[in-house]
Amino acid sequence: MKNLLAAFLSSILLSACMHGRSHAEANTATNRISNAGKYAVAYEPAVQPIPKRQLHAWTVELRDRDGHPVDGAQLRIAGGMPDHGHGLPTKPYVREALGNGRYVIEGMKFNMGGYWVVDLGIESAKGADAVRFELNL
Amino acid sequence: MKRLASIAALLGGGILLAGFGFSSSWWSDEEKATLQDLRLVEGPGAPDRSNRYAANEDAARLGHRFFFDARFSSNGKVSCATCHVPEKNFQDGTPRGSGVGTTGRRTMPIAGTDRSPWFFWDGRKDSLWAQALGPLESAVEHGGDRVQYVRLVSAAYRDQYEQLFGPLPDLSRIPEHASPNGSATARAAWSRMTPAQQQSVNRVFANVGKAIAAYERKLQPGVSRFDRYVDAVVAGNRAAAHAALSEDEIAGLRLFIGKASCTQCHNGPQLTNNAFSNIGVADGPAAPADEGRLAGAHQVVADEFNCLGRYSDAKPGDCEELKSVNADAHAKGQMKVPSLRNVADRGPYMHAGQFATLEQVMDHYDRAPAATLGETEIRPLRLSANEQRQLVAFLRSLSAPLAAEPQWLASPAAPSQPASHPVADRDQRLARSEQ
Repeated sequence: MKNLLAAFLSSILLSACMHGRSHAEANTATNRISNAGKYAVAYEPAVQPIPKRQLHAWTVELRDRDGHPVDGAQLRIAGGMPDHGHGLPTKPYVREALGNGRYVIEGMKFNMGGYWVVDLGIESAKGADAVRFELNL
Repeated sequence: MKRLASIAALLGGGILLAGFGFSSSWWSDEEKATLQDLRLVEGPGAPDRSNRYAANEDAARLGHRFFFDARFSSNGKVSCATCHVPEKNFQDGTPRGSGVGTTGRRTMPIAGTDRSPWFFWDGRKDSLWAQALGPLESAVEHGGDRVQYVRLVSAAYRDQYEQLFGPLPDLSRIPEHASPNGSATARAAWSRMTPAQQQSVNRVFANVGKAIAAYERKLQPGVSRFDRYVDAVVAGNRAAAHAALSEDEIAGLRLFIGKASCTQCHNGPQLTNNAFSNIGVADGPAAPADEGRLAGAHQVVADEFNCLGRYSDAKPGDCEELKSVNADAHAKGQMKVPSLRNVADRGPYMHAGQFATLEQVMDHYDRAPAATLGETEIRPLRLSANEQRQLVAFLRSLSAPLAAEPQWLASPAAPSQPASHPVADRDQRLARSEQ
């Protein structure tokens, strides 16, 4: 009886590893507070649900902790798939600052399903900070 | 009492296992979605915005003629079809290509590539039309130069060209041979041309590529037994499903989307995500280490025929792939993920034809040796011999005759006008004058 239970548990665990299942515990919220608490950051993909293999834009909205939009910020975009040890396939960049704390990032592309992270580095008059978004695709 | 408990545990376990998709007879909803993602999308993709002639029938007919015309070479013997042989899925079946010389890499197939954002193993071209211009001026492929080709178009294709693209330039004050690429003589001749002359030549050269691309867009993969299987699964028709694929092929498909992790890169209707990956395939001992995408990414950005260049018909907003290209250090040793459609019909495999058989490919993926250049992105799979055999069986089910009207699969019937001077003679005169 005990042996049977052990066999079930190990086969479930093994299947999870082999099939590369998404991180069920990931925080996939599209708005988060940055690491040092300086900014509230929200993103909206131009195509939803996020497509595989297709280049698309994200609109990012940046606010300070008082809720005021932050303009004139520099954004750097990095990320990748931590489980596979590779980064983003593209180099996304800020194409346009729309004002009112909104920025258009071009060049987002996810070329496979699974667990991805997108890290935004933020620099503005309010200071430097970073935020990580998690995605299960 | 003990026996009842054991039976209950077994039943509960069976239900649990079925819930995790271990049932060998059918597919979960998530797996069906994965299968549908792999199903062929028939017909060409949306026309490439950098080529306003991509969907033009007259351009395709002209490009068809160019593709099979061996006068587009230094020795009059090499056409696109020399390496891109129609009967061989438009490739040549050899580890490297043979034009006027030998190339460093495996000839790539053509069907279905109109949708790809990058061309060549290293992605150094970003459109189908710009790709065609590379081999034409490569010293080991066609061996010619763009002025030579513009002269050939003027002599042998004037009417067809001008009906499509407008007037050809005046060639009276332009040298016989010139190009920014190629021999020292050709480059010197190019540098003596005015910018206006250079651009007029480049425009015709670019249009030659655009016509060839319009033809190549006619070449698409056909519906395979695997696609029929997916249709049957989606329709819930088990009888049709089991008529489409054998049990071994189905087992191979399960491994492909599961334990063997192939769909990490081989996803989508062409079974490629059109990205670049380093899977640790070593170059031969005599071959220089091939940096692949690291070099290609820099070349595509600098290419005068790229999406942002003056010969492209695209607006800058159409060129996001190029504007977001990633040329980081991790690109070293990465190569383009090829499509797997018709893969069983076109060995040898990898960027210099390093593996003769699919069995050797499976063995490589299973062992996942360390890369000699850059970092490998694959890990050992620990597949059994039977599992590797089933994977190969599945890959064979991706084969189907190309979907193309018969005229596109052969040389055009009627010849064009002959050129006034044989190209080979002219090149011999040039070669003698260089000695």
